[in-house]
Amino acid sequence: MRRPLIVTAVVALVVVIASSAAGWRVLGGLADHSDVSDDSAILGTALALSQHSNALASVALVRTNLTMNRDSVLAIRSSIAGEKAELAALLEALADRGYGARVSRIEGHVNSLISIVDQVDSGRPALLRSLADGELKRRELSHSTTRELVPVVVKSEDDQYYYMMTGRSEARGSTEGADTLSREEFLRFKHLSGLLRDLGIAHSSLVAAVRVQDPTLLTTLEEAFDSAAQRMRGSLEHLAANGGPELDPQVIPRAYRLIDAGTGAGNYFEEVKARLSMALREQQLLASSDQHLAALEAEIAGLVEDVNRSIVSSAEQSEQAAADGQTTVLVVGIIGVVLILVVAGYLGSRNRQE
Amino acid sequence: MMTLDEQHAGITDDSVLFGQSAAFTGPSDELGLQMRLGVQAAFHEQNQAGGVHGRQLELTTLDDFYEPDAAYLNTQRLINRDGVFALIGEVGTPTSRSASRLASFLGVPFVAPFTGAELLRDVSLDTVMNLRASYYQEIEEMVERLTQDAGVSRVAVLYQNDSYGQTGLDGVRLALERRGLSPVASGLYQRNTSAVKTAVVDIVEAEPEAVIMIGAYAPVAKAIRLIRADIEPLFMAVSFVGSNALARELGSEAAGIYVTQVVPLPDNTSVPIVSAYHRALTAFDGNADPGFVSLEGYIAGRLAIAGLDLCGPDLSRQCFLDAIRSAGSIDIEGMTLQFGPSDNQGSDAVFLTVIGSDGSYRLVDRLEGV
Repeated sequence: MRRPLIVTAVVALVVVIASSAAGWRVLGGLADHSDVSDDSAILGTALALSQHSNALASVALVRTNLTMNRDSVLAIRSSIAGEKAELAALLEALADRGYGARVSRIEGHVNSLISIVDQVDSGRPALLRSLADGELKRRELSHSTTRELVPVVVKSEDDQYYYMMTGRSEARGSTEGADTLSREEFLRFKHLSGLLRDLGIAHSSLVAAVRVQDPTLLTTLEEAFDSAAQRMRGSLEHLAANGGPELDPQVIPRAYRLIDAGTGAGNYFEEVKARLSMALREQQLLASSDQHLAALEAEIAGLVEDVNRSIVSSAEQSEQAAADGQTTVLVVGIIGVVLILVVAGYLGSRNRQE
Repeated sequence: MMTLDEQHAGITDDSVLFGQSAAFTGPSDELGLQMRLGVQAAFHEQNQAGGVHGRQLELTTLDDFYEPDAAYLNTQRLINRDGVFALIGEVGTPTSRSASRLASFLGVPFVAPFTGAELLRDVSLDTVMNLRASYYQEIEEMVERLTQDAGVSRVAVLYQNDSYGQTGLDGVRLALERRGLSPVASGLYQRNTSAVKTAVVDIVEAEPEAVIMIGAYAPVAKAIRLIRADIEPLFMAVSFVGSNALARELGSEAAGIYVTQVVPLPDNTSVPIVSAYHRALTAFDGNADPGFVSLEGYIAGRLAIAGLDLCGPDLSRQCFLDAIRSAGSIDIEGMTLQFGPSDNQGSDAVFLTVIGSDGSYRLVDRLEGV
């Protein structure tokens, strides 16, 4: 009697163990669902990464311009620091969550973007200073040309013409018997007229150069200035030797000041060239940032796809695991029942024989 | 579309800030200084009476030397840096041309510029509120008088080489064309200079019976002297010339020169607006002499005050503009200004005046002694 009882207990134990194992497998399969919630967190992080990268770019990666000042540069810098901190936290949250290669590429683009932002930001004060200096010089030049130089040249030319046409001159007093249309008078008028025309060209070239963005155009403007300045020098040399009484004494020194602005040491064009190289460097960085941003967006989109795929796959695996578990439990249950019945039958026949 | 903050720029609970860019130095400084004086007199008078709806009126000014480049930059500064509510009393056509476009673009009221240029009568500049009659209207009056009263057919034009002069030249051409005539000569000079001799040679050669002058007082005075050295035509100038400064420049030689005006005679205190102007001017600056330009400045100030008053305590730029446009007519001490949806010019009044031997101006209905 003792042995059948032991057998029955063993069979029952086997059934319990088998059922537990089956249950464990089912639970294990269902536990895979927790990976889905991890993936959702990764998705959120990826989207936040995209948002903050774009925010960083829009606040920091803009062309330096004259509407900026010290305060706005400081405000940009503060926004950069905030966005960088956000990005660092997001990258950290993304690390060690699987997707190793993808995340590593994302990290690379974000770091490149941050590096570009830092370079643009560090170059900005010097570029802004240069832009502001250029604008100040442009205003000073416009003021001195239109208010100081042009009026004296116009007056001299006007007086010269009037003398030639009427023989009247405030500067000469009596002009009785003078040859008002002599070769000498005509040449004075010619050089004053030429000076007036050329100073207009020289001034326009300099003023346009200050705002130019294209180095090729700068060369054209410099060329136009140089040829105008060359002609001005010729006229000024003639007028210095044969200016005549109608020539305002301020014409020559003021005209040379304009020429010096475009040809002397530290002239406008040299300053504009230096500024353009800074601006060009900034433009290159901005263009490069566009590429990194596009690549980053693509990687983030790829990550989102990967995560979505993973979520779908996890769900499928869970369903399969549940089905497998149910089958296993069912089989084990049937086997257990059959075994118990067999044992019970065996014990019954043994009892009857005894 | 202006934001709410932009609508209320320059406004506090107890003040409203206006801005003015004009020539306060250089050959046309008299125009800017006098225009400012008139606006200040009007604001001072109103402030003494408690302001408008409890707000004191303030005016900040910048010198543009009568150069459009500087006027544009000044306008930028007044709007963006100083945050003015509105601009008032800009002096000149090329300067107003650059400043008004910026003001209009930014939705800032541009009140009573000292110019009669047609380009500012363009209603698409929807923040511009002109006070005065246009140059075309002034010139039409001149040509009508020259042809009707004196039978003149040979008219020459001296004009400034910019948009002001070009508007005047166009006005003369159109007015003469309507009578089957055209200018016999035209001579130009550079703005902010008195280099008029080349123009004078061209004009004298054509032997005109009359010369219409579209310029500022200093070059116009010089041209009159030079032309008179050879011929004795009738001289007529538009209001922008700066009438009082012209009379001063020429002294006794000013007699017989005609100038069209867009405001009443500044010494005729029987006119209520002039009487009010005298009171305000004396209260603001006892040493200031009355003049055409400061009278226009005073009326400009009064127009701004009327707009603020009509708008009520809840002031905004749009409300100010709408209030003036929709008021039908605005009465300022008996002077009626009329604006409308397709009319941004308050007054059409043109007065013909002549300078007497003592340098004073007289109103005339027709040309005298011709």
